[in-house]
Amino acid sequence: MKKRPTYLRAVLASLGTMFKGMRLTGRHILTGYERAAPLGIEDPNYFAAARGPITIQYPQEKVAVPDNGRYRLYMETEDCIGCDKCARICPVDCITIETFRADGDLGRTSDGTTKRLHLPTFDIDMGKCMFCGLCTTVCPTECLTMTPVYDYSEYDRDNFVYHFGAYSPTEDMRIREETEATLAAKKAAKSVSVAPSSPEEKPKSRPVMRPAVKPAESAPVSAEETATEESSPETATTENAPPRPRPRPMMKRKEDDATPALPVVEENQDPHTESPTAEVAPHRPRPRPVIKPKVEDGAKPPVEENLDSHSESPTIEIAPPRPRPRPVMKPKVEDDANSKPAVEENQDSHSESPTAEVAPPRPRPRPVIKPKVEDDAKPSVEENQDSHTESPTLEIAPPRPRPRPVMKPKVEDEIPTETPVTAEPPTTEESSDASTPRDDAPPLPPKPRPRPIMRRPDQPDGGPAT
Amino acid sequence: MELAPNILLVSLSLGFVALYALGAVYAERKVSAFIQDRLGPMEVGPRGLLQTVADILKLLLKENINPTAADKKLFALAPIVIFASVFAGLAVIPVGPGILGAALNVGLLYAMAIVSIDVIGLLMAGWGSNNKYAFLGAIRAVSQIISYEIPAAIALLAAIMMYGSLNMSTISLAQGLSAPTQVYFLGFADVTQLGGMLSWGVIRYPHLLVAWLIYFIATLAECNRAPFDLPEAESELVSGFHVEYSGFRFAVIFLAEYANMFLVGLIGAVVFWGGWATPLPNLMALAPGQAASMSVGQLFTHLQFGHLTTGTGVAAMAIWGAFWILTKAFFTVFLMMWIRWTLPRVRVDQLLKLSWKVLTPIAFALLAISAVWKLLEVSAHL
Repeated sequence: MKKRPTYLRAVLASLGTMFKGMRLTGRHILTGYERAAPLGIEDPNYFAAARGPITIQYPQEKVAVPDNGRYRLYMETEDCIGCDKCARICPVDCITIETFRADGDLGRTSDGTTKRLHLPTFDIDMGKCMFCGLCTTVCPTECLTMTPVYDYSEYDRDNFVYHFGAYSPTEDMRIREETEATLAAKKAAKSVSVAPSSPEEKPKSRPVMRPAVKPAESAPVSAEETATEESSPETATTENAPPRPRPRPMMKRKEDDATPALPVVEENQDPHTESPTAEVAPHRPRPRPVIKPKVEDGAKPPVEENLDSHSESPTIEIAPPRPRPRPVMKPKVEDDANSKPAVEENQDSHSESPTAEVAPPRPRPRPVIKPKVEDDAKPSVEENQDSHTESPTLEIAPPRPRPRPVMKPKVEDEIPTETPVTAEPPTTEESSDASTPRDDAPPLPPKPRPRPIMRRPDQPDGGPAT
Repeated sequence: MELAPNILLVSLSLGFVALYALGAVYAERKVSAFIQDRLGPMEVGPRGLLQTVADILKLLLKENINPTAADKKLFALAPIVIFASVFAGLAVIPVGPGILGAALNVGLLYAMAIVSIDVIGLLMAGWGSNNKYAFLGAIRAVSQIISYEIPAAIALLAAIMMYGSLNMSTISLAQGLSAPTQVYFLGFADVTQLGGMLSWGVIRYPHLLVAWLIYFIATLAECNRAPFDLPEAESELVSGFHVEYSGFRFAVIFLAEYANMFLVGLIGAVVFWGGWATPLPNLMALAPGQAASMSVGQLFTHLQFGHLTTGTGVAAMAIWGAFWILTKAFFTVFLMMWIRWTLPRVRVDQLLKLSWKVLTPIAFALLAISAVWKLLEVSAHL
């Protein structure tokens, strides 16, 4: 093809290519001060040939994100009706919702939907979130939205859990008790009219039942479970046994514990019950444990149904006291726990056992229970208390007069304290503070709830930017 | 004793070189950034102007680490030798008419010699570090600098033959309006009164443009600049002969490197690009008192740009001279940066081949051309 270049031509060619390269780089030097503003992908000029440096000085400059971009989630607590749809559709289970039934309406959301559930816990773990946006799609009141905030790094993984719950732990406990008390009172009135025998006992059992059921709602329940639950209510009514609030602890655990534990529990229970379907065996003392875990896990069925099922199950349990179910349950659960949350399960088992022992309503057991169960145990304690006290105070609203010191330490978890702090970026310091002071009940240093929304991209918030 | 003014002069130039190095490092980073479509330093000061100040402050605060196995004396002495040799070269550079540290008659020879001492400093650093990377870098530096001194010296010789002097002041004068003899553009056009670029060496004698090219390429290698930065090849030798240096000593080596670029730029400017002479020519000749009777258009065509940008009086001429020669030197330094971020590093064999097979023969050819040209010019204008 080409001749081998002569000496002189080689020299000239190398000079030529050198100048060519210099011209190319020289053009870039001359355009060094030309800069287009950072363009978002939606800008029509996004793919136009760029001139000048393409660096984006990030903290000061940001590329515009699409309006429908999916970044950090925000939940408008005022508008949430606690329907749990977002938690159920979430592919990665990053949303944790805990609700309990309110006595009457809690007002309306901004789109006019009536709120019937208290929402003590609405946690979103943005560390798990995969930004699919399904939760925002299913939200009936559009209270759950994706914000344009994408820079929210944290030094502590726990800070990725954003708390949108409506109440502080203190408020939560108080409102629960009040609500349960009022509901119990109402039911008691009903049950008295319906059931002739031991009216007192009946009312107690029901109030307990309801609270337990409510938390269960959040958990996803399989169709079978729902069926069993439905059947159980019937049995309970027939037996009229004194209801006792054991199942509750399970409920709380559900949230915390991963689903894996639950299915195992069910299986174990099944052998006991032999045929868990409602049709086959309406009366069986054993099913209790089974029912509880089930409900906790998959509380899919409508709230009301769940409630009923819970109420039934406890009644059954109480009537024929049988030592088997518990011991069996615990070890089994633990085994199951191997997969993930062994600790939590163990706690649950403990909580259960105390509840069973306590069965006769006693106001005092709380303190004991709390320390053990801590986070998960809460519901059970409350139930017990409710049944015992039964003082029907109608006020559901969020009055906070009685912060109960004891309660707080127990609750520990992450539930935001009373002061609904404005959006403050969750920092490790805050988290540590929150964790430490539990025993000092009343006015704990308010944990700054990390509200992601608060930070606007504009603001140079102290948190992530630097 | 004239010690005091000399010390003052030395201090001034030392301060200037230090300031220049700060600016050059900043410019280097900006040039590289722009070529790569980046922004470069932007955070410290407006547009990152104080970045290098911050860097040098950091370096000065750092510890001087002495490797245990190092030859302590050589290791400590090397940065001083490197910088001192480069800095001494500045003594013979005429910054303006009559403004220079040492008016040596062999100024150019001295400059070439003093730049070569740099090699000894590099070798001391590489050997004294007792580090294989440093030693390899030093070996490469020595071999390449010695190789490239030959074409550089011969190219300079080709120019010196045209001026007939090794005195840097004489060389500068010969290329400006104040030339002591007639200045012939291309050997026939008398541009003594016109001045400007036409009287610069590379314009008057076009073959000197090639000579300058050879000189420039050779000095790239002497300064260990890309594409001849084998002594510091980061990908192979970490950072070459100064890999063991830290803190102030590293800063001194760095300063010497940039000062060396500046020095060779100055020498090139003096020998090839007119020294402190202005590039702007005087237009039509103007007799005394003639200006009063001319129209605006006539005045424009008779503007004496050359005289305007050279100045009259010692102070004005010094300032203008310093301005022009520094501009030329800085442009040379910029050119070195531009090339560094354009061309990839050559291999060792390519490096030596370029020196011995290309630059040196061409330089000898240019030497011959200069000899013939000078002979013809002298005989033609007798």
